[in-house]
Amino acid sequence: MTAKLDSESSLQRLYGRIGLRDAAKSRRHLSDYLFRIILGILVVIIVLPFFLILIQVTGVGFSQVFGTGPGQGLEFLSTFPGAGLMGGIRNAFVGTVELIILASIVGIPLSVCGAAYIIEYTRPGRIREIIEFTSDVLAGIPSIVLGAFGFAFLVDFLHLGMGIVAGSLTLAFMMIPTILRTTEEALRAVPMSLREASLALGATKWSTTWSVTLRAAFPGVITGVLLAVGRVMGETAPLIFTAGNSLIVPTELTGPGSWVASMPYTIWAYISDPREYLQVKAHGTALALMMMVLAVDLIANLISRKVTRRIV
Amino acid sequence: MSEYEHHIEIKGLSTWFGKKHILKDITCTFKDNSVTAIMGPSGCGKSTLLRTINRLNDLVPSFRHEGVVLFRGTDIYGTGSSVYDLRKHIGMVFQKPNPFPMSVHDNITYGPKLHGTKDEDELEKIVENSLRKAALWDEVKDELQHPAPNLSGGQQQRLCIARALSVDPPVLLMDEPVSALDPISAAKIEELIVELKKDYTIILVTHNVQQAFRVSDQAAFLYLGELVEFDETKRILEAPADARTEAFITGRIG
Repeated sequence: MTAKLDSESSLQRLYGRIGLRDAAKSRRHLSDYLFRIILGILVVIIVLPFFLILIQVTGVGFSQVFGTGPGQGLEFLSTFPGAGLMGGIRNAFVGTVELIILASIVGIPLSVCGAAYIIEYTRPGRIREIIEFTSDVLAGIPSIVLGAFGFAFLVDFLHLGMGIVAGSLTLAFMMIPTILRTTEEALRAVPMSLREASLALGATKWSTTWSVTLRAAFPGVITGVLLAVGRVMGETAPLIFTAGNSLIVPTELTGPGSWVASMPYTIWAYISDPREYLQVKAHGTALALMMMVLAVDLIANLISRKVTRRIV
Repeated sequence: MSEYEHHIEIKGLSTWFGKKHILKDITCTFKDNSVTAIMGPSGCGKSTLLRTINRLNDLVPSFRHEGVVLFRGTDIYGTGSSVYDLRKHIGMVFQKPNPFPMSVHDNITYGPKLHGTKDEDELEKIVENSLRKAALWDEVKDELQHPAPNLSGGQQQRLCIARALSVDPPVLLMDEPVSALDPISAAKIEELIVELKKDYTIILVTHNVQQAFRVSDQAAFLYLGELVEFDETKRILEAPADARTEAFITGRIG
């Protein structure tokens, strides 16, 4: 026993003298350390653009949205643009809200029902794969192409003309793949035995899907809706050819009276204008838009958490 | 409605999933107001037999059957028999507690509402009665609006029993209802099963010979899809007539 201990300690001493152990140890420490630094730098690179945008937008646009002077703060959102585009962005603010609401009314039920049909009513196989592949491709289509499609199909072929209907339908098209896929995943995650429990009580497939399966999948569905609405809110490209633009809010559903402004479009139009005060307004609009997206995010989170608390 | 002696009778039932022959020519009668245990090793077709009785196997596209299953003397797979009506009369409790993602109250009212009970007072009565029958009322009467998934496992399973009782089915199918629970919750549910047989015809799938002995009056022993024995539980467990039954009871197969 002692002999063994002795030999062990002498071996240790030998290694110690050569410095083998320490060298190996410190080299490992060093690489561990370096790796951590590299990851840290990468994270900084990842989050940097966000903070740069925030600094730029708030730096220029803060007083426009939060200031108390004439035409600033709430007045910025609540007055229409006047001569030379002086004044506020009420047209864009109301326009975006209306576009998003209309797009959601069309897009959310379509995609949730579509997902429910795919998961609950079709068997796994070729057809389901084709639908899923198509919606994945649809999710990856550049928004300007969707805008062109909206123009060619809705505005031109269906004779809807530019305006709030064509604009919001194009946005709805953009929402569908995201909501469809997240709802599908959420439905897939609902345990089979929950459906069986409902069916075993004599429920029809429809009431099982509606009151049990979709309910259990609700937090996942909300996540998808949130992602889609947040994304669509900031889209300019699909609206360029489909929504038109306006200095007031739409008064009709068709024709030139239905043309509608939106926040992203306004940012794009103002930022391309050489006039100094329009640059400031563009930044203010961008800041307001970011806050709207944040608000949608927070509200959806709140709903989701409230519902989740009730059901999980 | 035709004459019948017992609620559930099975005559010459064979079932397949695709090409796989699961149940082989099963004939038996489940006595009313008693507990019948279906025992057997894993994969012998216990659950398939149970799920054939309330047609839950219809969910599997490749399911096929021959022979007849009679509920109150009528073939449940026959033309003109409604699967929704059948399932209203044959309740089911599953292996894992599976409360709906709603409040305790709404879990119970789900079934009655489906079948057209709208009156609020009546629904309240059903909630209290069902929960009392499932021995859960005292524990949850102040928490009816709380989410059901927050209950403990044993409470959840009793809630599932209450949910099954909410539409007042004469027959109750139970698929290993305590195997996912701790011993104390399991004992409570076993007690409950014995209590419930006064009013209900209970068919209980179990893996556990002791449990069959404790709660059941009749027992069926299934082995590889064949009905090996069907008799009083006591008789089967004390003096098994078949070598396979004996091997199962003594723990050599299972």
